[in-house]
Amino acid sequence: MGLLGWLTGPPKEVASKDEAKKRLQLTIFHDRMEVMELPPERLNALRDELLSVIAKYFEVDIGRTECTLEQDDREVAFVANIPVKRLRAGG
Amino acid sequence: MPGKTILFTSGKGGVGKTTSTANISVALAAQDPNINVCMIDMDIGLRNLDIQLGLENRIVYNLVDVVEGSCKTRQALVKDKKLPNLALLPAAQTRDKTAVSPEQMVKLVDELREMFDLILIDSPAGIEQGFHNSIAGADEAIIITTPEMSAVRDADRVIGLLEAHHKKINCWLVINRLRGAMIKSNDMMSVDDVMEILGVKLLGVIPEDENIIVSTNKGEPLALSKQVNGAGQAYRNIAMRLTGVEVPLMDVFNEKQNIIVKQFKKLRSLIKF
Ligand SMILES: Nc1ncnc2c1ncn2[C@@H]1O[C@H](COP(=O)(O)OP(=O)(O)O)[C@@H](O)[C@H]1O
Ligand SMILES: [Mg+2]
Repeated sequence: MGLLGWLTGPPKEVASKDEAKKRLQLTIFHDRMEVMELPPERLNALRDELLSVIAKYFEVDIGRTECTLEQDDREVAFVANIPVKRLRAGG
Repeated sequence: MPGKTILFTSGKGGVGKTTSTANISVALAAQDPNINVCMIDMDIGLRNLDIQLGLENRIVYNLVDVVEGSCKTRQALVKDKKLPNLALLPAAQTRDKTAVSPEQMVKLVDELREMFDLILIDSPAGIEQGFHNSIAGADEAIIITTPEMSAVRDADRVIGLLEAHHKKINCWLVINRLRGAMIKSNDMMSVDDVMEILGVKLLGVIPEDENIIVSTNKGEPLALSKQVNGAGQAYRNIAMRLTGVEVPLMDVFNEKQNIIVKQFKKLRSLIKF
């Protein structure tokens, strides 16, 4: 340990409560998802089905499409970001 | 007006449901002699609320006897030793959670609503039959947790179940066993941390307090003591909030006073005054 290290003491560990909070937030998020019965495969299926419907009306940029579940407070929201290239001609 | 029912639940065992039910019930009854309070011990097979209140020798009939029609509801109610407006409906000790059904609980609770203003239900740990029996007659729920990971996780699960219940039971949070020194050194989640994770309304905070053990030993709930700081006061504060009185949240960091009291007690025991 150099002089500076000696002055400042050993490096501070991450506070254990911060670790607990982070782990807990993630665990609870997954618990809530499991309870809602929506595993990742089902989420992907939902995205594909959704895209097939939207593709009837818009030409979409499939490569830049993003579907996620977002969590705030006590709610998990399904958020889809689907960039539209142009409107399809009406049928 | 028919009485209101409040459920104490947590998911995880040993976080303080029974202690809180006993203490908040006595605080409510002591606060206003015109409020009739009843406690129901739903932990069938693992009866404990009677011990907390020092009523273990007065039990004749229990909840299962009432439900099965072996006695009248009034016969099973045990009156508190000190508070005439407080009663306990004890759990059966030799049966299990399947001895009663949610429908039977609704009927029983409706009968008690005619006799009492407030009915506090102490639920068993877990989310199985005992939990479903307990929530059947509940109007509101108090979720007890401690600032520990597994307790908070289980609390979240229980809140999810209560919110998904067809009655959409209103949830309040009580955080128990907070340790000011550990929170200060960032080794324990704070009230804000737990709130941020669970996202329900906060009803109260209870500090870790070794006097709880002493009061349980004596069968005299701490809420009845003259203690002005610590858990006893925290329970009284919660009781006041339940009756609509606004009380500021207890400062769990205020351990200075406790230390002074401890030193004083030590001094007193040394020089015997
Ligand atoms: N605020 C507190 N400070 C210290 N000990 C506590 C506190 N709350 C509860 N306890 C202790 O924790 C244990 C479990 O409490 P209990 O009320 O029986 O939990 P539960 O009914 O949820 O299983 C008991 O030994 C009790 O004395
Ligand atoms: Mg208990």
